[in-house]
Amino acid sequence: MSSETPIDDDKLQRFYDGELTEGEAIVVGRDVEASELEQARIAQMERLGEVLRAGAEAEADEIDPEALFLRIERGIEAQPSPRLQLIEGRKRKQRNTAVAAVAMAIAAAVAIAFLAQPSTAPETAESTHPDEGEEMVAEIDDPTQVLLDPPGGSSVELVEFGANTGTVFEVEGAQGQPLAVVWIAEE
Amino acid sequence: MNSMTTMLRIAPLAALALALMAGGAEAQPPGQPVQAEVLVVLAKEDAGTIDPALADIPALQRAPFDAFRTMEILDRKRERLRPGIDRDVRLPNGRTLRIRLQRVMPDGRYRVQVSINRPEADAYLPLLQVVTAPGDPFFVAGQSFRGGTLVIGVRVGEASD
Repeated sequence: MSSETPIDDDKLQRFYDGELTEGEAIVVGRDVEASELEQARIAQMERLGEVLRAGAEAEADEIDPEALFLRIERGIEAQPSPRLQLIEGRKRKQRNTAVAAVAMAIAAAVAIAFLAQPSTAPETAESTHPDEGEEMVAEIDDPTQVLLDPPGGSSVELVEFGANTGTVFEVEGAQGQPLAVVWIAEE
Repeated sequence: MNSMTTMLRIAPLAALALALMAGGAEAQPPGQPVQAEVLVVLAKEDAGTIDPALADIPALQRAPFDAFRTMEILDRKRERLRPGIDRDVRLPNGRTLRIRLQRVMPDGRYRVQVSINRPEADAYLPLLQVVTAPGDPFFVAGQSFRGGTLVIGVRVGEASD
């Protein structure tokens, strides 16, 4: 592998976790040896692992949720990887502007309308959807389900932690889609 | 307003209507229930086993969840959500998770609201609003329970594939 092409995140993580086949591990190990960048990424994974495991040995029967939460939070901050993104703690409200969203929805619909084949049977008709990672919100009150291959994953629009402390981040799903995680430390 | 201007204004709406008809759109009567699953996992950092039933949720094997070396499914509840109607799921720690399907989005995703409360006590999670694709989970984690941490996975709808 060229040193300019980073190793896939998932593969590197599985290499670090010892989950690759022997052959894959040899190839990836060679690439890591040859690249300072990959060595730095491995070092980051090690640091995160150390942070997350740091308090575990000291805790016998009792778990300290606050300490665990802090380790999780610091661990996320210590790993600047798109696979694990610290979004924001406390109250968070994510809303796209209705104008842009409606405009995108209409643009998508126009594209689909032109691409649709009238002779195609409904059950076999294919539709496309621009997956820009933006929420496509049109103010349609009637909850009509439109089967347009929605963008994958889950995301937090709004969270209130009340008296507790919390954070919101994302983990990667099976298909690489972001999955929302809300982590709350009890006060 | 001349006719060309009128046409330009109407065209996108007409295209939208055409797209809904031609693009495989399937009208779902308002109020039709949507399947949801609430998965309650007790996670511990102690060495142990990961319930094999969690194999279909790879996210739980990734950081930061991979800090947990024991994961036990305490409960797995299926609910049928109707827009605007609350459904309550009793958690093992005595709290209640309340989930409501707020709406089905035009692109097929679901907007849901979740809260976790205990009667006559401050809310643990007063409000969480999530947009999720059918079958893709989101997680609420951090409650202490039996020497571990509760990780709650919520999945709404079913993946189309």
